[in-house]
Amino acid sequence: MNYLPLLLIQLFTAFTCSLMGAVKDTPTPRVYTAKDLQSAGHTPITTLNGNSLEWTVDAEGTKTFHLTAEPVKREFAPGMMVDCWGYNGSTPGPTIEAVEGDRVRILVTNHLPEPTSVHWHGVFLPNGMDGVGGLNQKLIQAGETYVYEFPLIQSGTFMYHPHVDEMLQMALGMMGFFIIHPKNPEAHKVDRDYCFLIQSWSIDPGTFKPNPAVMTDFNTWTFNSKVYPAIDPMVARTGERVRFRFGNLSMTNHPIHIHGYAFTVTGTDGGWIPASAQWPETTIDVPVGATRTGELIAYAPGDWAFHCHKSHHTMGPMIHDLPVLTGVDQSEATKHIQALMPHADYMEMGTSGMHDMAAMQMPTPKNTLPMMTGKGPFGPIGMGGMFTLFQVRDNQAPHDYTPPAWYEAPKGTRAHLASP
Amino acid sequence: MRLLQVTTLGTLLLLSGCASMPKDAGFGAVKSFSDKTLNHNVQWHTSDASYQEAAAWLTERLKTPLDIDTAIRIGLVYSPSLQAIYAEVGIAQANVVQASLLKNPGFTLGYMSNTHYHQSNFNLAISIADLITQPTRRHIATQQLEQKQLQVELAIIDFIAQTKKVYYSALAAGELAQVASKSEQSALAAAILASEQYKSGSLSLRETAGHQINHLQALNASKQAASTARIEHEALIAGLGLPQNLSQINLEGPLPELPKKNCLYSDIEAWALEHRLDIRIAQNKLNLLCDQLGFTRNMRTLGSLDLGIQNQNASGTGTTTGPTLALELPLFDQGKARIARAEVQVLQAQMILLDTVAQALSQVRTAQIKAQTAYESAYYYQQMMQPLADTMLRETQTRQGSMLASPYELLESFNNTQNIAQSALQSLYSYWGAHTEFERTAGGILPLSLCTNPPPAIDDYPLLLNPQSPVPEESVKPVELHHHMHSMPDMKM
Ligand SMILES: [Cu+2]
Repeated sequence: MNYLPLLLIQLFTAFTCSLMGAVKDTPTPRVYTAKDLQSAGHTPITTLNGNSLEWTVDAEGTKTFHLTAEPVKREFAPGMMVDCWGYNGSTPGPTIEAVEGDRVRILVTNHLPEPTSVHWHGVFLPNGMDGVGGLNQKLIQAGETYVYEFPLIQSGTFMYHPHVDEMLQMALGMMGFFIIHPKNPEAHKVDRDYCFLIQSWSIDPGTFKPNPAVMTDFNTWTFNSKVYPAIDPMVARTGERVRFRFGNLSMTNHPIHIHGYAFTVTGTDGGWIPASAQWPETTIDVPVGATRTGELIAYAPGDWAFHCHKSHHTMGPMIHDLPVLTGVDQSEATKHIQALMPHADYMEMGTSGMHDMAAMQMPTPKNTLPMMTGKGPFGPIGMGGMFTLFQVRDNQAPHDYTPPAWYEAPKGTRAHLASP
Repeated sequence: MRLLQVTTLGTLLLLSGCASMPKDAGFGAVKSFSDKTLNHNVQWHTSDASYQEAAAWLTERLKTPLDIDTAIRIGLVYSPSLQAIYAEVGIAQANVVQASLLKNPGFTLGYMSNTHYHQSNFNLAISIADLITQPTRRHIATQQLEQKQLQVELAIIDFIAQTKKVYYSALAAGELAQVASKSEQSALAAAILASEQYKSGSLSLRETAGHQINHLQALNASKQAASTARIEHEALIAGLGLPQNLSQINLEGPLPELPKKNCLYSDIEAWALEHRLDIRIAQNKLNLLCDQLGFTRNMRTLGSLDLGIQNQNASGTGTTTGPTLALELPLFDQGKARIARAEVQVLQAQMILLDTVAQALSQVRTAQIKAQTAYESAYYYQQMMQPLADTMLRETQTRQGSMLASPYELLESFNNTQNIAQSALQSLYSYWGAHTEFERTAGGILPLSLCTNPPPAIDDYPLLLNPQSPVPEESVKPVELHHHMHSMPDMKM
């Protein structure tokens, strides 16, 4: 009886040693990155405020990716840190990039406090690899690692996200892109290929944890879990062909609008749209649970606004039951309130509109961004949420993603005060 | 016979001629107790001039705000009700003097129809009985004086406690009226804003009317509170019995602060047993009745002696009648019933003493519990709820400044601070009331030497907010558009 634990220890020690030995003997496998795709002639994906997942290749040529589902802290913008869940330390998770015809093996390790699974949204695969917990597979319990393995038989813009406790896990940020490049690098070729996932959050001012129970009353609107002014701008060199891929895993549709250009809608998560069926659009409405792909030729230099066209979605945290005070003479009430407030000076808000918010930059509750913020070369921009820029320059070097300085409009091409 | 009569009378006059009222009329003991033990000055005015002087002093004194000690002093040296009670001591002292004197010999109308002999004989018998009973009567009257002094001292203790309660109540009512006025101001601001919104077309008539109702309710509550404050002031004026030319007083607020540390008095019962005057009064009454019993036994053959102590309750302030002599011829009644009655009265007084002790100890324990609870309640309101309400107000104002809350919400939050302030004031007032009652039930003074400090209530509170939120506090700096691109993945948690 007493010998058993000792025996177990000995066995365990032996096992550990042999394992260590094995690791020592095997050379570290080569790690591939998006650069390797570039060398193969593909245009790697630019994930705004994110990156692509690295992989290894085994003897049979199967690409092995490893996702770890785990809690992460995400800075939505300086001044706002959010407790999220994501993959590999990030929300959204890293973009999985592979090529049509690849066989991929994706290891999923669960470091969450509850079970999870991964569903590969839009990808054609064997039913048992589809990732619906309980339906297609057992749930990945905390601490377990599951293997998904399937061949990629299509190309296009797809997503991955959990299919266990989906509402909570997605509301906390668990999602990522799954981009499959066409086998032929020349097919659907572009110079730059941007992608972002659209998400909405409910984070009560003064808190740092999203509320997954909220269905409609969201107050934080993100591209890749970032808000303006922390969302990376998208840049291009004049004349380049640029692709934008949007994925929407929020609870409502988002009309993504570009200024100065029209997109050509070239794809959905259902695949590429034949050239004859593509259509032009300045605003691509991205439905819930779908991806949309738009392309354009960057012919017009400038700093072009790029945002969701629901104006509430280009704002920082706000409440929706504010009284209408525009045009209301608050002066008498203000005098009374000022006489009562024991702490800070009382300031009336909103009498002439809400622009004051952008100009004044009043103190906000802890961990809460202002409703309107950002400063441009000509004054406050007064945005928040789903807003960024498309910056096109004649002199932007190919493959250079560094944001340029503010655009300088040629003389006579900028709006100005009518009378001098 | 006549000679004997005259001689006896002469002797008796000699014996009793020196008896007269002492200068302080027996009030010295009371004054000493109040001035020294209770540390509150009393004065009994036995002349109109002296009383007018006191009235002039308080008239002058009331020109400046009144603090609690002065209020008590005014009561103790001026209040007509107390002066009337002090007079009881004078009456009891007069009884002592009376008991020291022998009766004047004389004829009473009722006996004129009898023979001269009988009358003379009867008078003589009275005089002899008077002479024999005089030391006892004097003893009894002296004891009754002491009893009366104790009763008046007790009345002073009760008066001080009552004055404190009424004073605190008036003070609290004044402060509560100020709070109600602030709430009214806040409701007014909301109603003004609502009516401006209504005028500009952004608030419906329905909502605007609601805000006006709110304001009128607050206005009404404020007027009620102001009225209550005036009534409470009036109660203080009545309690002090101020002269008719003084119909208004200003109090020196605010309510005294809650003591930094709570006081739990150990073994307060032993203290109360020693210091409560009602216990001593009950004890004295028992002694008196024992004396009466002995006297009745000794005098059974002479008739009945009414000591005038039967009808007084332990703490009563009714006039002492003093011992009186009623002489009878013990022909039919040989005093057996009187003795039995006196015996039962002793038994009764013993039980009353026991009950007085039991009640007193229970009262002081109850009062201590109430004072402790009141302390904690005031502590919760002042040390915990008020700062929290204040925090809410600050946070709401930050939200209002960043358009995450409306002015109405801000005013609501302000109202919340006023509601908590109102409860805090009420709980502080309750504490001082309970403390006063505790002091009274302990015998008029609390022994600081017996005070231990229990830990503050806040130490037991399990939900203390950690002011350091897990999110690092950073101010939001306006971010320029040009920042590092393609940032690294965020830090793991
Ligand atoms: Cu939107």
